[in-house]
Amino acid sequence: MRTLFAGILLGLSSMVCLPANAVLTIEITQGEDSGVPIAVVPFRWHGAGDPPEDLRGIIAADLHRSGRFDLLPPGNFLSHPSEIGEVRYKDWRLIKAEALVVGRIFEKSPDNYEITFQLLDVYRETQKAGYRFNATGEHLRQVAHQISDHIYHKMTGVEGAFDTRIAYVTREQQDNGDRIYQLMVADSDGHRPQQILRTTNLPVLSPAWSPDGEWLAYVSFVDRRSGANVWLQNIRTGNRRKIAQAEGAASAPAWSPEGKRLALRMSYKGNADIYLMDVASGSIKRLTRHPAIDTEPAWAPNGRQIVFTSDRSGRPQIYRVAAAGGKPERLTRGVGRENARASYDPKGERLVMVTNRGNGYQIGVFYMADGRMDLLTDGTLDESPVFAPNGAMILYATRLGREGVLAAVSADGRVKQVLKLHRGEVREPSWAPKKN
Amino acid sequence: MRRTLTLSVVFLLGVILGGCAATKKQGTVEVEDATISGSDASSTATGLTTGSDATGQIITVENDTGDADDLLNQRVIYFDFDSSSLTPEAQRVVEAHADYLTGNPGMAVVLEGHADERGTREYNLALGERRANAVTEMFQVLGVAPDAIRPISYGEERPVAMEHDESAWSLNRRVEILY
Amino acid sequence: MGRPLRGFILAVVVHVAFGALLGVSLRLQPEVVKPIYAEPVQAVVVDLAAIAQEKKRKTDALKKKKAAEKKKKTDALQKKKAAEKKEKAAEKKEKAEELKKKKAAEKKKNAEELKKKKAEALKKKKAAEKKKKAAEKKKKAEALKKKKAAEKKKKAEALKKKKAAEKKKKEEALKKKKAAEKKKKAEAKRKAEEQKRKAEAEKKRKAREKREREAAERKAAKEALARDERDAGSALGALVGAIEEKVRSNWSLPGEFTGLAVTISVKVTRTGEVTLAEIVRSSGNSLFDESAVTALMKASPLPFPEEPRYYEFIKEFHFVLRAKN
Repeated sequence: MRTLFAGILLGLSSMVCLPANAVLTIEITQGEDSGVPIAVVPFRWHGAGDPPEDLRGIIAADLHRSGRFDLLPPGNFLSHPSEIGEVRYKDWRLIKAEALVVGRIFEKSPDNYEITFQLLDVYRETQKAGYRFNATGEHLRQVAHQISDHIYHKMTGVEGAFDTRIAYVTREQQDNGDRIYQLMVADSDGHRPQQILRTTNLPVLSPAWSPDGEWLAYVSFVDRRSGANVWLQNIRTGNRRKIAQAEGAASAPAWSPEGKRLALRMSYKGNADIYLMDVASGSIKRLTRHPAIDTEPAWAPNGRQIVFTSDRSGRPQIYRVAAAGGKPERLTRGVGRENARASYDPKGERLVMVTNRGNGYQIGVFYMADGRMDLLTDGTLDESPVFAPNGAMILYATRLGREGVLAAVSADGRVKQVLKLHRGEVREPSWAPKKN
Repeated sequence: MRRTLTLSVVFLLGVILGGCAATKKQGTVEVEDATISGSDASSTATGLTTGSDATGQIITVENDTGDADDLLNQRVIYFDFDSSSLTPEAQRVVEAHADYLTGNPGMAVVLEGHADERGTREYNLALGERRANAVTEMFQVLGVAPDAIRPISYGEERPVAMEHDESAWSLNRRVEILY
Repeated sequence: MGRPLRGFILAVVVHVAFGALLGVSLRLQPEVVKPIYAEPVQAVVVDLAAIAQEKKRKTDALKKKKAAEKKKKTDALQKKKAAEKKEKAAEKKEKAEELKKKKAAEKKKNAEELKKKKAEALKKKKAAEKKKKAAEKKKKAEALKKKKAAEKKKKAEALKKKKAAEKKKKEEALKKKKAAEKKKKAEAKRKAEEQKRKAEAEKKRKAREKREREAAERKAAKEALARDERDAGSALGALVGAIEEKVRSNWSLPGEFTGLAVTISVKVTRTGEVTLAEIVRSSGNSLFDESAVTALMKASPLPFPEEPRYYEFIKEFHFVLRAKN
């Protein structure tokens, strides 16, 4: 007890020391993250009737989903400015907002809108960003996501990934027992879904966006007596083609960063290995040669390495091989009894993957530099994780009660949000790269 | 139903045409056995199930005497977790079918490999394929022609049991023999 | 001055010199030479005969002029001479008159002096006679005086003796008195000196005591200051927990910044209001630094010791804000 007391006294006195002519110093270590407190004021509407979109709602949901912000409830706002001249900073300091977003929508003519917004620093009383947009009604959601991207970039230094699209697979069971599969494309928040493909009783999996965002590769079946194959489908035209001649021959497509090649799992004589295929010519090159299952290839952003799943050591683990060919090396050691479905972050520094430490399957982030793995989720059947184009968030499939749903988790694991997308089961998300 | 009928007819034909000098192998389908009769057809009818619409009970009959009919009625082979090796019972079933197929060169089977939902979908697609291949290899070893066998895999995509526990999973880890 | 510094200065000087030279040389541009235009001269027709005539006329005129001038000169000269002659004559006349006057005066003077002398001789004679008479008188008087004097003298001497005796007595008494006084004085002086000595000793003692007292006071003041400083520190220290908590709870980071730390110098008012938050050592990441400054602005006013005399020691201090690891 005495030592404890002495210890506290010593500690206190060491925190504040005044030796002759030294500067008094107080050290503070960051506490629990809570996100930057930000107030987004409902955008003022100048037009007839109701505003066409709730821009504030879209922006607030984006910022919240990123996990970096603490959105202050609009009910507490003392005033509702729409541009910097109307702002009384005192009102916002009172509710401890550090950043403030104000904006307006003008209806210039039917279905023709002008949107302005400003991002303000409440304590320094300065403007951090401000932009003006022109758009039709159908693009208003996209404008809101672009505003979210600007806000995110200015506040965190990282590019936003809100003005992006995702693809995913849904499955619905009909009353007659048929299962309807759909391949869908939607905004990154799950809104504005479009059907790309629909099958009856023929499963669809592993959608993969081409780097230019024009094509989706995916796995499906020709009929109920055939094995898996890979299709390439153009998003806009809907034209598609099958890439492997034999059935059961191909799955797990992955586009190279320059968009000219696909890495795939192909099976020759019953042996699953990684192959590279030139998209234009269809010529293939075998990359792994091992009786074990080699599947789920993913390209490094520099286009020179490929990570893949292999059970050559007994259980599935992650390996890496040069795209030019060579001996694969094992990456995941001492981090989970099973690891699979790895993919790179945009900088090539981390892998996100499915990992099993003994109580089910969770999503983990693996650091290439030191080989350590951080667990981001705590489900039992989490799968198909994919990084956002800015590497700050991860989209994955999980179970919510009896349903399969998609969820987004911030890359540091702090904030999770389930995306309400569709009736029935949702799985297999893929995130399109950001269009410039 | 039609298939059952066809099969029974074929059996009878075999009995008539094959002659009584066919050797009796242990654990294989004994086609000359006179007990094959209407009673078998009914049991076949009830016992026989196809994997593709298996919503009800699957009856596994183990019989030391290696009741050939029952084995041939077995259309589903089960596997342990993350494994594609055949249990002794599974081997007996395979043998029964192999026998039948070698005896009926015009017949062909599709071997549908499956996996339970644990693990990633692509890995399970390959695991199902591996299971189907294991059965294929055994068939080939037993003399079945390669083009009479078509192995495919559905991975975890077409489970027969939807729950998320071992009882369901054990039923989903399977290869279905489809004629 | 160190070698390198000297060398540096020399280098600078050389460079400046060369630069100056260069500049100067650059300014020595060739001057634009302006062409000189000659003024056109008017040509005049020349007549030789006229020239000769003109010449003669001119010389004649010159001659005339010269003759006239000469005449003028001689006339003037003549006039001048005549004038001078006249002046001289006048002067002469004056002088003669003066001499006459002078002689007359002398004559007069002599006559007067003679008169005077005669008068004086007479006076002298009379005076001598007077004197003789006086002398005789005097002799008589003196004899009488002598007699009287002798008598007086006798009396005086007797008196003198008496007086001397008295004087002596008096003197002795006076001497005694004086001696006694002197003694007294000496005594008094001694006493006075002793007192003076005592007073000085006392003064010194008092001065020493004062110094000691002042030294003690200064020491006490210093100690009090140090004590205040310590107390201020510990008063602040007692509040460090509250300050830490307030700043920490107001600090939100827009991302992961593991391993970063920023040092901020903070000035506060007596009530803990943050008036200045300046980055002393940046973390290298401006977003991180700004978030720390914002945290301090939000946490203002900080929980702060109230005792006014502590304020001087703790009105400015540093915060180190460190990211989680």
